Amino acid sequence: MATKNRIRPKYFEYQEKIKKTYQKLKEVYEEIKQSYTEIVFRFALMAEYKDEATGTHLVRIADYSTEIAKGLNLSKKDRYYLRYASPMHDIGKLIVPDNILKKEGGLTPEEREIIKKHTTLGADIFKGSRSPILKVARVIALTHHERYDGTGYPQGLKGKQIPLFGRIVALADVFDALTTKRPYKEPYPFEDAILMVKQEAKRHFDPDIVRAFLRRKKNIKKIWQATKDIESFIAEYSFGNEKGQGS
Amino acid sequence: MQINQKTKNGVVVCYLKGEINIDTVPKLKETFEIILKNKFRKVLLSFKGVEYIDSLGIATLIDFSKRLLKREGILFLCELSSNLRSIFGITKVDKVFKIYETEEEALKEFYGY
Repeated sequence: MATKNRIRPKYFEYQEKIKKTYQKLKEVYEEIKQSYTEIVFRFALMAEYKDEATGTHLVRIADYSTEIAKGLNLSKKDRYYLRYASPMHDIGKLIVPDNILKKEGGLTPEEREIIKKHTTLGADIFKGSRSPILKVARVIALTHHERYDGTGYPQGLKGKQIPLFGRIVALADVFDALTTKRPYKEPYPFEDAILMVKQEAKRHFDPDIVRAFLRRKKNIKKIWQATKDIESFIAEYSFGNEKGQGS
Repeated sequence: MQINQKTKNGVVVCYLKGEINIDTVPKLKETFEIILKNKFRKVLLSFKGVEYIDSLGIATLIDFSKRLLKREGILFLCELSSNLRSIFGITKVDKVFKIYETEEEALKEFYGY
């Protein structure tokens, strides 16, 4: 009995210590997770600066890809990986020389080949990583320019040979390119871009991915509209309009 | 997503928790509607415990901020995680919102208005 009484306070003391350590570990884990995902976004932005320089493109790619994943009933974990890995699809562009990437006018066949290398270069950056997000990022960087009919690059993979995440981001990326203003073109209206995606089923895109995309059309439109609102608000503000707030 | 609300010296402080995304924005919009309906003009959103915000979430904040401004109100944000800060940074919305590190700092700033 006496021994038991001596042990009891110790037991509660240890229990309390374990609780506190667990809480601390949880906090540290959250902190590491946050810094990790933060770096992913900032890292992806570097490649965007070299090219189109729009961060909203990155957020849209993550959002469109997540919606397609929902349309395919993918797990929460897969959607999480896609959200953070998809913005890094063009990371290989960091290594493509600026004079080719930003060249105005036509590209020579050799220059076109160099640009195509951003896929394999991107995959090389993530090679050997054990992180699940970076493993997905590698697959996406390598395969987001493959086409369902086998005419894409860099490997000319066909149909379901193309990894699922690559097929998803291929559609998200093209749809975003169609609906966004670029130096050489005006954006296509939303419904026109939807029609173009539909027409490319079995050619550029996996028809299953196209169906999943169309099932989520209502939400896709919301994302499209939301980023338009964000961009116009920022443009309004950056022209010195008094309506903007902040410092 | 969880939303808790408190009024501190005429400032409505909303404590947000979880993810702000396409599925949870209706709840956020609902809260904003009530704030506008009750004619509150000073609003502080605390993002402590918010892991992610998507484009719909950002657009909802912008819309609310615009409507508040029309009523001569003002919106401050505080306690953003580094992940959220990076999203705000890459979309450049960090330039259009007043963002404070802590709730205390933001509230202090509010009293000057």
